[in-house]
Amino acid sequence: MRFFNCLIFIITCALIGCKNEENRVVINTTSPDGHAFSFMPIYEKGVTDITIYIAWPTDWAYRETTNKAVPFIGAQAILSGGTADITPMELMESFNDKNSSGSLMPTADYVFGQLSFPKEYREEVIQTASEMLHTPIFEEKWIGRIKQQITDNMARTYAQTPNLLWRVVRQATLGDVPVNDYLNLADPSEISAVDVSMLRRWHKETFTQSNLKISVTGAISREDAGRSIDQLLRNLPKGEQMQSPAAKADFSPRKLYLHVPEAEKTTLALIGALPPTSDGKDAQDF
Amino acid sequence: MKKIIVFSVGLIISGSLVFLTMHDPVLDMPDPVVRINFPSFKAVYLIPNRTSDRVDTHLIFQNGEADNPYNEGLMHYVEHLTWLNATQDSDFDDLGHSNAFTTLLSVAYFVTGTKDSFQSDLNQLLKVLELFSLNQQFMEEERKIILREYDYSARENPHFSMDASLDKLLFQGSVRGRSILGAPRDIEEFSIQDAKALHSATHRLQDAVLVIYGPINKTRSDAALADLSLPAFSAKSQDIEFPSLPKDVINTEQDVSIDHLVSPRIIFRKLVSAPFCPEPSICQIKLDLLISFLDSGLPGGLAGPLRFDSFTARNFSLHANYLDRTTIDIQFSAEPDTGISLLSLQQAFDSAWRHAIEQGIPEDSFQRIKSRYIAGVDGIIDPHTYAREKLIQALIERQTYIPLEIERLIASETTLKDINSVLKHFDQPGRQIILRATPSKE
Repeated sequence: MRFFNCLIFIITCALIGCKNEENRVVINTTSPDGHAFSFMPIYEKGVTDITIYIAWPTDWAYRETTNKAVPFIGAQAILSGGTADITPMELMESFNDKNSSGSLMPTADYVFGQLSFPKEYREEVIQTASEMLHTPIFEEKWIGRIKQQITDNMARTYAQTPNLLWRVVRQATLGDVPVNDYLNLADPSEISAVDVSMLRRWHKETFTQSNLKISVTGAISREDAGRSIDQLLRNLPKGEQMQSPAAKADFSPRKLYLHVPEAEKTTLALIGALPPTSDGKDAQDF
Repeated sequence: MKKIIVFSVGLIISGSLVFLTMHDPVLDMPDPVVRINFPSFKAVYLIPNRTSDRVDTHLIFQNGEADNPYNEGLMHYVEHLTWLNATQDSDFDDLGHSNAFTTLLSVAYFVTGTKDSFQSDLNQLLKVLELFSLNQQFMEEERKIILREYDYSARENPHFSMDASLDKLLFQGSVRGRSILGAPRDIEEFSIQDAKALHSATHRLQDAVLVIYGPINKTRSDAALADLSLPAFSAKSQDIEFPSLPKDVINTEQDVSIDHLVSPRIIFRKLVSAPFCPEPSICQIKLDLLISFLDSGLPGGLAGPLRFDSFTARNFSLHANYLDRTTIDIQFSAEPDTGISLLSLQQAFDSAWRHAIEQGIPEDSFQRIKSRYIAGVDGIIDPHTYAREKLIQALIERQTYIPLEIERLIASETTLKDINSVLKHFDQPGRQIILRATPSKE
């Protein structure tokens, strides 16, 4: 059986060229267009999928004059709008047929994008995703639907008293800074004020080729991984060397009270900083 | 270059020959779940996984809130007291993770540890069989902990109250409608005497199913079980019993105003009679294929008319489950788009629903759904974890565990006729409730 496994591995390597990379070993490398990326191939029986992660740095949440709801609405609109040639429904069903998926998750510091697909659909999926990233369809009706959904989600969150506590915690640890408005997203008028021009500005500023953190893993060679990244990003503007400003949190001891007269119960929270996962302590919160 | 190509072709041909002598990459893998014969328990399952660095041990009693003759929610209180009783000794070294949960049909306890702590974790789990020796006042105070749990998860959660009232209507008179958490008044009045009686009746070794997952082989698990020095009961595996369900037809529509609800919502629930299914776990796979189709934007599905062709439903969810061998519980829930009333949404759903049932699934849509399902099964790269989750889910729902290869086989052999015959039953008279919920004015 071990002989057969070795044989299958050799066949796989002969087909996709994995001579220089070891299975499940991370290397740092560069694509033909010069994008640095981390790469971990998985050459194992039954593993056919590939996943690409890209983190676009952003300072949108930290700026005084930006509308803080824009990244949330924009990310959803890019994913929901389809492309110039493919309707939203066709796009969803096409990805489902290919057992593929994509996501965009905006945070205060980065917009995280993920694209997963079986290796046989690599070309098609990346081409579609590239179009969505480069030329998103910001259609008014979809934007209205997304705005309503996010408004409801936030109202639902703050309808539960314990969730109000997190606003106090943010205020206490971060102070009175714009990123608080982004993290709280408590004002519905901020959401309703978003228009297409804001989304286009955010899209243009955010989705560039500069200063990205990229990783690729799965059933793919280093060469194909580099080519895939280039194909995905090539049409985006070069952009500026943006750095996301890290927020400084203050966890010095203190007591805070939030008076909510209509609350039926009192909620108590104890907050402290966990060691950073970069120290290798991510398994401690088990 | 030519040599390389020849070499590659040679390998491909050799590879094909290798694959001819092997089964499908998924099917040639023996199922990770091993049934162990150990007569003290109702059943023991081992899922050896030498690549895992942790051992998860579950002890599951297939008695849940449905088996509680006392105040609603008492089984959950019993679970709290049982676990507190079992872990009160200071020598319980919970370096990993442990917890307990109660469902309508089961109550379960689990400990996550290491290979080295496996024996002591197993001993720890078995303490749930012991009679309560907790301080009376401590047990009384635990009712307040459950009240806090109610405050946190239910009091300001509009879906909790909606689901609870729907269940009461739908399952009228059946234990299926019982609340697992209970209402605050019930919780405050939980009797410790009743809790002790319920614990004794439901936490018996011969009713317990043990599931071991991790870097433990059969020799090690046999040795650990032998070390427990447990009596052999020769427990007979009994036929799975499902709670009985009301059979009379109802067709009810209600407008309700719900506290803490943020946006209007329509909920459609229906219990329908299906052709007799000897094994609901197997029939559920076919039902999942059907629901995947109805939930989709493929021709004939609901997402086209409700979500994409027109802006009618902002989002919606559709689920269907076998509750026993002849009953399917269908649940549809949706929020209207801006400018759409609940009645308009209801009419759009009704029209799309009827159309789907009358027309059946188009052949092309069916083949696409089936291919997706099989690709999903083939795409599972960690069959051990998948098997563990599926096994535990099956046990707590009192269903039969279906190995991955059987799941794939059933999906691949399901025909369009099979699916459409189930779909036809969705239109038969059953117990149907439509709830139009709006936020209360407060």
